[in-house]
This record gives sequence, structure tokens and C-alpha cells, in this order.
Amino acid sequence: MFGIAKKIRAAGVIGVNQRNADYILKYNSRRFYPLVDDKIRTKLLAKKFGIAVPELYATIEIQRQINDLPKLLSLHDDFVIKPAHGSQGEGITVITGQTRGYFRKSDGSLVASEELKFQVSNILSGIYSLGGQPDKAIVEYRVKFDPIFEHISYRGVPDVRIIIFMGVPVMAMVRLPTQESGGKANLHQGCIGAGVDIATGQTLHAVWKNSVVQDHPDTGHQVAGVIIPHWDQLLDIAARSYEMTGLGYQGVDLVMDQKFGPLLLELNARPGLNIQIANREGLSPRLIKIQEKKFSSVRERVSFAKENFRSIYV
Amino acid sequence: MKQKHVFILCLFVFLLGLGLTGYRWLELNFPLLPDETAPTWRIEIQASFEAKGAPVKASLMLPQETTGISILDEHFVSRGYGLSTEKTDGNRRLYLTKRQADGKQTFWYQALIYQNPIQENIATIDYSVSPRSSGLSGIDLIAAQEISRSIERASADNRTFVRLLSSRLKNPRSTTKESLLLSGNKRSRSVSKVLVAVLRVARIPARLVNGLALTPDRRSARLTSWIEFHDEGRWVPFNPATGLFQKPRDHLSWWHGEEPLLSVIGAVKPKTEIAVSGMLFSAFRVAQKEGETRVDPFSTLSLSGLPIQTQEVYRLLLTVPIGIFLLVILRNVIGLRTFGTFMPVLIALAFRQTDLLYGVFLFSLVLGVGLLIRFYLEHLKLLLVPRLACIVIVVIFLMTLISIVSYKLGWDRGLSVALFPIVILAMTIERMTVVWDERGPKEALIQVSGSFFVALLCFYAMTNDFVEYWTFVFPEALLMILALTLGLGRYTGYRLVELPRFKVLSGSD
Repeated sequence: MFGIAKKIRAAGVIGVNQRNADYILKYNSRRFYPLVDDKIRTKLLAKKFGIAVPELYATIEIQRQINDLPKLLSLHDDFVIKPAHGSQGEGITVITGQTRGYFRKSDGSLVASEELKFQVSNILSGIYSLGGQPDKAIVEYRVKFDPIFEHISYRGVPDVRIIIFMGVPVMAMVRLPTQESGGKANLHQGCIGAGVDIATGQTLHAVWKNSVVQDHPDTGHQVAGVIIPHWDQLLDIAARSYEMTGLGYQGVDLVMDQKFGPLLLELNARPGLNIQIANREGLSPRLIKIQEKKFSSVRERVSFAKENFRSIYV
Repeated sequence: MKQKHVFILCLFVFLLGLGLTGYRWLELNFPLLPDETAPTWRIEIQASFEAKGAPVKASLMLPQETTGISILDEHFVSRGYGLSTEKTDGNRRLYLTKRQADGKQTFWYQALIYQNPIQENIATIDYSVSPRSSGLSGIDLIAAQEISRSIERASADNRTFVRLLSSRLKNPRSTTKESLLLSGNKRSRSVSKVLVAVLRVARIPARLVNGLALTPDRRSARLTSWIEFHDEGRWVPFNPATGLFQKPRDHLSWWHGEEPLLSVIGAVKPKTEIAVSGMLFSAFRVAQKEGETRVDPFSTLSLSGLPIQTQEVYRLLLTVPIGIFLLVILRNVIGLRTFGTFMPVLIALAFRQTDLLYGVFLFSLVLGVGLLIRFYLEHLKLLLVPRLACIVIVVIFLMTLISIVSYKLGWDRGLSVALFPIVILAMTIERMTVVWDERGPKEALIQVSGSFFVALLCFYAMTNDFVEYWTFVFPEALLMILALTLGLGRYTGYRLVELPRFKVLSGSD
């Protein structure tokens, strides 16, 4: 047991306790949390900084508005409903189309509008928000992901997670939905995480449920070796989100849309640690390298990351 | 920087807790273990006299608190007498007064005394002592002066003087001055009296000590006497019977001087009967009673000063920090997942009241039925708050039903189901269904069994006799727990469950 602890410490792996005590509590001021915890505020903020986000169709704040939901939704063929304060991908419903008054979910099943109303009502009651606070529901543009990921994801939308420390991209991974994750891009729910080389944007091996895999379990295609398009642009958006929120240590979730290119999906003040497994590298050495430096521009931070954080597995 | 700050704070709080605990243990004699016993003695005096219709004033010598002796409890029983206690000449007296009394008068005094075996022979320093009159006159005085002069020549200091004098008084030849003083009476009381008188003639302050042998179960106990003389600022005991500078073993030093135990004015035939019985008192109760009678601001802060019912509440509450500390370890060092942060501790508290087996059974029963009902409610598409309210109401119904049915079946254990924290139960049911829906039954069962496991551990920690005793008797020891918890707040090492999780990264595939 202690042997493992020693080895993974030598590999620079950060545990939950260390992440919380040495990075989140130290570099993330609590007053900035609402900026990332409320996805509506994040959207508005991103727009102010000229960062593209999925278009917001509507927000539902009170139960009464739910009755107008069918009218609201009839304007759009496909959309995503999610809680403004949700965490870990909970409470998200993706609708890909409508037929005869029914909505088609991303997994192919049909739901009546009554069910969607109930889902929204649950969101408003705060069932998915931290501490059960009353919440708002968001209806937004459904991202049509870039065909590059077509063979290595099962329904749902794959997204790119980049950890930013003091505005410097530290580590990245792409999250690929599986059948088990129900089309959600969340590692806890069983999606695949594949490390991405910061320098080149090329995917490395993948991790599924804490173990290393080569192929996508549902499609059977190889996950490693895919070059993510617009990589520099992704890094640039990620690095700029530091100025946006002021959070020293955050996770930036980005998606690649066919039409709009890279979009900022959401920010996370407490990003998970599985990214280390996906990259088969500990975060600690990279974080320490950044702590020793001072940067003056976004460009400088991105180029520092590309020079220093080349994956050892490429 | 923060690390250092926390470390210093931790150390400070820990040492404070340790110091206060140590003080309570060493200075106030609170025992470290629950079953230590301390010797305590019950002394009972039955005093009587015959009054003759005139005003009566009686005075009874009472034992008093000195180093090593504590009076834990005392009672007087007397009919129609005015009572007052007074400290004079290093003695404590009880005065009983009545304007008019007739016939045989009886009263009782009872005291519970604890004699600390360690401090028994330590005398306090007292320089304010001056020689007193010997009370001798005429030929007795001359004889005493001659004896003292001859011994003074042969002795080096007060101690040798006392020893020489004592041996000469013990073996008097019939014609000597010693026998004159003793007047042929060799009873130890008289020897002591003469010793005091001659020492006073030699200008060595001395006094007679009246004591009681502390033997288990003795009806009509006899009083004994020895002396104390002043040497180098302290009262040194000397026992003429043994010739040692020590008071007799297991004796209570009661009062000084030649006054009798009971003296009366306005009445005749004073009589006293003394009974002694030994008892093994729980050492904690001795310490707590000692604390009540002593004016120590810290020992009066003991919880035992509270009303019994409140004490019971704190007996329970004070174990909660232990459970919470365990929870912190299980969550932050081991990495177990539970429903709600402190839910397992509350469940453990409930288990305490219901007994473990019944508790687990009843809890599972309520949880299971509650879950079934919650799954049914899912179909009705109710709003969150009314839905939660429904679950709370259903849970209360369930508990009532269990109580009634089990009581009818003659199984009164089922009644204790009422002690479960209802709202906590309802929240657990709700959280569990959400996890069940979102992440599948496996995750829900993992979390619920994790919570159960933690609750079990907390239960064992919180019901441990030692833990319960310590938190109640040494509440300041919880400061040490606080310090450790503070320290854990800066624990940045791996959680145990992270080791297998990150094992891939250890490079040893």
C-alpha cells in the first residue's frame, strides 16, 4: 500500500486532499465561484470576453414559466436542457428532434412534453444543484460535434477538458461518451477519457473506469492518435478564461461544433483528477513549473505550455 | 505559511487540552479509567445529653478538610436546635443551641470522608505558631522544668528532645519526676498530655491530636491520640505509642487540644457514640464531590454539577465529536463515500438509543419501505418540496406503525424506532433515489452501505465505555480531538481509495 503511495507521489500524482488544500483553497477565491457555478453567468461573461458559447435559447426561472415550455421549445428542432447550477453532468437532457408532439432524446427514446416539464420542474426545485438551492433551467443550442470524433464516441457530445493553472494550460483530455455513460461526457458516469498532448493536440491512450484502454468500447475504433482540429484556438480560449473568472485553478470544458468551431461549454472550479490517469502523468511537476514563473500575456502562457508540457507518450 | 500557522494552532490547542486534562487528573484527582475506586469512610456520631429545662449550648468537634483529607458530604440531624459551624484555634466546631430543652436530647452527625493516601503525611508550612502556656503549676511545673532541663542537655534538636522525653515517660521509675507528672497513669492519652505539657515548658510549641482509627465497620469506635510539635515551620506528628514521627496509619486527625469531642453548657451527661465504615467509592464520584466542596474554579466547571437529565444529554452530545473525528478520517484519509456529510453520525446516535441490531433492522425496514414509496411517487411527477414533505410524512407513519405493531406483538424494542432522525431518514431516501436514477442501483447501494459502515464504526466509537467516560469526565480532552481535526484539515496526502485508482500511474504495470 505504502509502496504505491510512494510510487505515485514520485510520479507527481495529486490526490483530492492536496488538490483541495494546495490549489483550490489557495488559488480559487470563493467570491469568484458564482461566475462558474451559474452557467448563465458564465455564458454572459464569455460573451463579454469575445469567447463563443452555445447559443442560449431560453432560461426558465419560475415554475409558472414551465407551462410556456412547449411553445418555447417548438421554435427549435433540437436543444439541450440543463440546470444552471448542475454539477458532474447531472440533470442534462439532450433533445435531437421532434416528432408528432414527442421529443426524441439523444439515446433515441421518445418523451412526451409532460416529462420534459417534470424534468424542468425538478431542476427548478434544486435537485441537481449543490445544497439543494432553487435553481434555473437553461435551454440552449445543441452542439453538432465535429465529425472527427464520430467513430470514437457513442451518441452524446464529446468535449475537451483543459486544466488551467494561473492561466497556463496544464493538461488536457477529451471525454468520449459511451453507451454506459448514457451519452454524457462525464468520467464518473462511465465515459472514456483520452489524454491530449498539450503541444500537438494529439490524443493519447484512453482511460475507461480507471483502467487504460486502446479502443472505444462501443465503436471499437482506436482512440489514440487523433489530432484535434483548431487546437491552438482551444488553448487560447482556455488560457483566456483565467482573466474571465480570476480562478487560479480551473477546468475549462470546450466542444468542437461543425458550424461554429470551438465553443466554451462550461468552467469548473473543482476539476476532477482523472485527467492524470488519462494522460498517465501526474499534475504536480507541471503545476510547480508554473508556480515558479511570471507571465505577461496570454500568448506567452500558451507558448510556455506548448514548450514545456509535451506528453512523454507522443 | 498557512501550514505553519495551522501547525502552531494545532499544537497550542492540543497542549491546552492535554494540560487541562492533566490538571484535572493530577490535581483534582479525577481518575483516568472508569473503574478506579478510592477509599472513603463514613463516620457517624450519635451524641446525646440530658437537658434540664435551661438554655442549652453544645459544641461538637467536627472533622475538617486539611491536606489529603476531603469531606465529600456531611449531614446533621437535630430536632429544634439552632446549628452553626465555626472554625477556631485550628478546629472546626458545630454549635447547637436551644432556648429551652428538657430530657434526653439526641442528634446525629454523618460525614463522608476521603483520605488521599499520597498526601496524607504532607503538612503545610505554618510559621505563625508561638509557644503556649503548659497549664502546669506548683510542683508539677517544677518537675516538668527539671525534666526538660536534663533532656535539653542530652538532645541535639527538637526531634531528639521529643524522642528522649517520650522514652523517659514510657518507662518511669516509681520515684522519679516523670511518675509524679503521670501520677501513675500510663494510658496513652495521658502520656500524650504530659508530652505536650513538658514540650510547652521547654518552649517548643506542641499540641494534642485526637484521632480516629479508620477501620472497616466498627461500631463504637474509640478515639486515640498522638501529638504534634512544631519544627522548622511545620507541625510534625509524633506517635508516643510507636516512637515514630508519623501519625498512626489509617487514622483520621480529627481535632487538636484537650477539649472533649462533645461539651455542653446547661445540660449533663454528654455521651458520644462513634461508628466508622469503609466503602469503596467510585473514584470519579469522589473527585467530583471533592470538587463541589472545594473552591476551585476549574473543578466547579465539571459537568457533574449539572442536573442529572442535562448530564445525560451531554453524556450523549460529548461523544459526537469522537464520531465526527472518525468520520473525518474515514472520509478524508480513507476516502469512503457517504450520503450527507454527518448523516452517519446521526444514525449512530440513533443506534445508541435503539441498540445496534434492532437499530440496523428498523433502519433498513424504514429505508426499504420508504424507497418503495418514493419510487411510486416518482410516477406522480410531484414537485421536489411537496415530494420531500410526503416522504417525511410517510416515514413518520411507518415509524408509528412499527411501534404499534411491535408493541402489540409484545416486542417493545420496536418502540425505539421513534428515536430515528426523521428528516435525515427522509433526505436519505430522496438522495438515494436520485443517485439510483442518475447513476444506477449499484452506486446507490455502494453509498448506502458506505454510510451504514461508517455509522457502525461511529456507533462503536461513541458507545465505547472508555470514550464515554473520558468525554464526560475530561471534556477538555476534546480540545485534543479539535487539534487533530484541525491538523487533518491540512492533510494533503493521498486518500486510501486513491491508491488503487492511480495505481496505473505508479509505472509498474
